[in-house]
Amino acid sequence: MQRLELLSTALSQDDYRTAISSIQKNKKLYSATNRYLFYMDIGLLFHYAGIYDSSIAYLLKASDIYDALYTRSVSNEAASLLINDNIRPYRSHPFEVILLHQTAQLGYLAQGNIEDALVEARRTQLLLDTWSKKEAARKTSMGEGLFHCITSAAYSANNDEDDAAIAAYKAIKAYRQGPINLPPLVSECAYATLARNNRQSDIEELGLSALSERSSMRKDSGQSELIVIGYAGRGPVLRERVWWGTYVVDGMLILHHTEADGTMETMTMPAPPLTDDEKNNGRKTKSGTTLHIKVSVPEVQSYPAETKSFVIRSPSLTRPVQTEVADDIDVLANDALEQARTVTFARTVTRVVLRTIAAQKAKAEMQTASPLANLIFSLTTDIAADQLEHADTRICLALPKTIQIARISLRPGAHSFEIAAQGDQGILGAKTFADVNLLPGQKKFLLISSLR
Amino acid sequence: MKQLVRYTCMLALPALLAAGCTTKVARVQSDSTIDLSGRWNDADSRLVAEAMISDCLNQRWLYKYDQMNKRPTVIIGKINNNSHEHINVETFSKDIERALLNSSKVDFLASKSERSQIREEKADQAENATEETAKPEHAETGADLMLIGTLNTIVDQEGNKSVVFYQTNMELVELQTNKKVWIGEKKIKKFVERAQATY
Repeated sequence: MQRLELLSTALSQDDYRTAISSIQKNKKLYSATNRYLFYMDIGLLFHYAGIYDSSIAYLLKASDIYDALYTRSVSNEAASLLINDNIRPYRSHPFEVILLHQTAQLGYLAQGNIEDALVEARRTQLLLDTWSKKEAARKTSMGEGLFHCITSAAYSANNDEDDAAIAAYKAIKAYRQGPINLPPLVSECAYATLARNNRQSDIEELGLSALSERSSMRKDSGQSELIVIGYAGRGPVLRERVWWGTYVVDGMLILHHTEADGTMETMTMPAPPLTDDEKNNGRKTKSGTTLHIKVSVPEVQSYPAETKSFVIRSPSLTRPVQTEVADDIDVLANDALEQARTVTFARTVTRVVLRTIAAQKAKAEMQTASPLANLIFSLTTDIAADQLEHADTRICLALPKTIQIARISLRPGAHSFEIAAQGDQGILGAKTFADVNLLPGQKKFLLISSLR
Repeated sequence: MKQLVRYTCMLALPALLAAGCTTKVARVQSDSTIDLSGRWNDADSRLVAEAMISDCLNQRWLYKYDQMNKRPTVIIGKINNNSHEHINVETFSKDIERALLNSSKVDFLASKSERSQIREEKADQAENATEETAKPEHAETGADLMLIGTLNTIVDQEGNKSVVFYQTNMELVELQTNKKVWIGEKKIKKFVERAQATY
């Protein structure tokens, strides 16, 4: 929670530079196991502040750390099975890695550097290919719909229309298979891109509807376009959720949790098996033995957002344009935890059970003639075992709640825009982009953030 | 004897720990090949530059200019990075430029970004320098040829193993006729195996 306290005030005021400065002055809060988070948090904050060079440098460093963590330390993994997952280096959830590369990609696009933006697209696609093989049984996508949508626009800006069409197809597929609802704008953009490239079969397969009369997307290529990406609200954090219950060796695992309103949730699953050594040593771990255990697993805690959308106004527009939600980080985080739920529980329960058995054996072997000494030792052992159990609640704290998109076709030339963050009570703040020069066929990216 | 061993260990252990904890630097030859991560590195840039230079200077596109008793003027155009890595293509394009210029067979003109700096300076000179020393505007040399290129990759990966194929193509294009007079190619293939576990 200390990292959260460090950033909360600055983020709620959209004071990104202060947040960056706070992190850099308190590096120890991140520790050696959280280097990925250190670089990603700062990279995102620089991105929100519009300092894209620095943002990209930090984000690429986080990416390097993620690559290096492919190699796992056997001793570290073994220690984490006895202590808790927080001693493992943070490897992030797949949706965070996608957001990392997507943010770097948008940073390049904001600078007009399409080539390096497409490099990020290719790097991310390699990761997605790797993950899709590892998690063949996964039923949902990893929330990469917006990434493919942005990649499609980047390829189109680079006149790579075939790749733009493929990315548009993948965007629709990712949204349909993922936890985020397909935004109507993304659907229209995909239709326009596929139609422009004569991919009628793809349009029919995806069931895309033809563009409406009022649609801002046109089928002809070469149009100049403004693409606005808005980061709205604070992203989620993870907190511990405590379950307690009974573990039956070679039987069932029954866990209970009490909600804040007093209702109890019960979960039953086959008990994760112990190792053969444990089963064969000693009387207490034979089949049918029951153990009372307490486990902590992470759960998502969302923040309410004042910023609901962004509104773009300009003398070049006949009416204001409002952004649509294209990514919902709360939903992605919940989906990620849900996908990993079985593995997380199995790992956590195994750890707690092994620790409980070890603690019981230690207590049995350390029996002395003194009842007081026995009591102190037993209590100390129980408290120590209890205190070791902490869920891994690490997550990037600089993520937004939603990422929103607007795409506006415009004639080439100089334009000025005012983009306002809009809440339920009205405008929360606005930023003016003057002298935005659009060349014929250019796609210009403007980024804005309001994490309130 | 036991005390001697104990004191020796007490002295040796901190030294060993210190030796393991300090940063080590060893200077190596600039043309040595050291592969650490499997990604594009200086050795790859050098291989591409060497291959392109030797090929470029030994092809028949130069004969035309030899017969005209003229040194062709070349300008460096865009070298597109279509790969999956952020690669600074200038590391080999500059090597090629230097080698071709130093061969005395080719003249190079400043690139687009370099020219804008020069034009700014000339505009400043026109306003502030003496008439005798100010360099006139609209007196630039037009290029005969443009050197452009692409860098592409194909990656095949499974688990901790991957094969990365880099293909660099460079082309000389006549500005007047749009004819391609030379195409150079260099292919590099790497097998990268990442450790899955370490102690």
